[in-house]
Amino acid sequence: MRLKIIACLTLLIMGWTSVEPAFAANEPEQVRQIITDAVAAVVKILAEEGLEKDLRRAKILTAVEPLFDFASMAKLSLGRKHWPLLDAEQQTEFVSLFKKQLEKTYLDKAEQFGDEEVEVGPAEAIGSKIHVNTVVLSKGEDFGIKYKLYKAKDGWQIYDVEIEGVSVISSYRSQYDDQLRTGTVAELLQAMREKVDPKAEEQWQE
Amino acid sequence: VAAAPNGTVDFTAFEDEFDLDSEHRVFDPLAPYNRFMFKVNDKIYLWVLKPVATGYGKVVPESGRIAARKCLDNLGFPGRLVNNLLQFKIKSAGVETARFAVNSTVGVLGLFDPAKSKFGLEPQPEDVGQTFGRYGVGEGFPIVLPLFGPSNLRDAIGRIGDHFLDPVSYLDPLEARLAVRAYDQVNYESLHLGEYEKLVEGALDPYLLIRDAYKQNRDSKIQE
Repeated sequence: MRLKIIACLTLLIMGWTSVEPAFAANEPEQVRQIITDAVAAVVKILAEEGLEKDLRRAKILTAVEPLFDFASMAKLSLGRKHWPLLDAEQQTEFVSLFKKQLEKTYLDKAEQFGDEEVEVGPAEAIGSKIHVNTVVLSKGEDFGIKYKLYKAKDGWQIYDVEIEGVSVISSYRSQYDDQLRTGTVAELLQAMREKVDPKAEEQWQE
Repeated sequence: VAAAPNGTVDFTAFEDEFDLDSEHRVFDPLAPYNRFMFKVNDKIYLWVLKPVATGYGKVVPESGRIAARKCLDNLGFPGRLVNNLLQFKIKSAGVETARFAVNSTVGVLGLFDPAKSKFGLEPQPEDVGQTFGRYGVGEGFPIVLPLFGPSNLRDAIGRIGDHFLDPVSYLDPLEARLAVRAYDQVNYESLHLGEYEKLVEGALDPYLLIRDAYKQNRDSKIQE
């Protein structure tokens, strides 16, 4: 742990002293604005009355989807060791299943917090990335949600979300790692299919 | 969606953040027992706690349950104060003291939280496990405690300290103490119904998910 802290500090200091900054000075503020707008859009949709559940979920997805780099998140979750074990077709399916699972998790969380108060805190520049801290006040309790963005080809995109210090990518990583240590890629994909769509089990058996 | 089909992300840009080569396996020597106890706790939640909390939630309005939660939370002040002091978080210790003073009086025995809503004094929760962590004590290994759920060697020992710092532990007779604890648990669950199910529903291995989430959550709290 201590070694890790020293390593982090060293990296941090090296980052500070490196010649050119990874992005322009006003970019953290721009990224913060992106998150502020997205959060406001979701809160607004959640507050809409008389909206059917499926329609509401679809509307939320349309609002936030462009912000997430699902393909990269999927790739990071599998890790450098396992990713090349999948052939091109399996990679495509993995990304699509991962995306569906993440969307489901995100929507469940959004519905749980409802149209509660959300405070968007300051944006932090961490190396070449920008993290935006938000606090959701739900039923008298605060929940910290951190959006982590990196500069993708087409602008800033989310590569990870932390809820109360728990990283989505890290959590998926250990699950996939464990599955692939004891089973095959085909088995992992099948397990994911069943999680995303319970009917997939029957199709598999036919 | 702007992302290219199979993720254009370069692994090297993220290796300082995630363990991308998955070299570090979690040391979990009690895994068989832990998995067993995880299942037991899961059933206790589904078969006992959840139905009771659901029924209770139908009778008592949400505002009342939140007030009860705050009141019991306010009683945890001694533990938060001592642990903030032990970690030399003098300012946080002061904030907690002010919160306790304001909420116990203006906040009607802690039923409300004017310290936060009126004075912007945010809670500064700390427990003995976090203090140990702050002093460099490692987590040891994961332990699933009966009823209490996920923990580790460090935090399980820390709980003993928390017990002595909690005023509820000094309630007499024992029945009163157990009743308060059980009520606290049911009340808490009534405000969080469905969250646990949603969390484990999408997991390939619920035990691993909860174990790792617990560790990440504790690590982030210790670093704060």
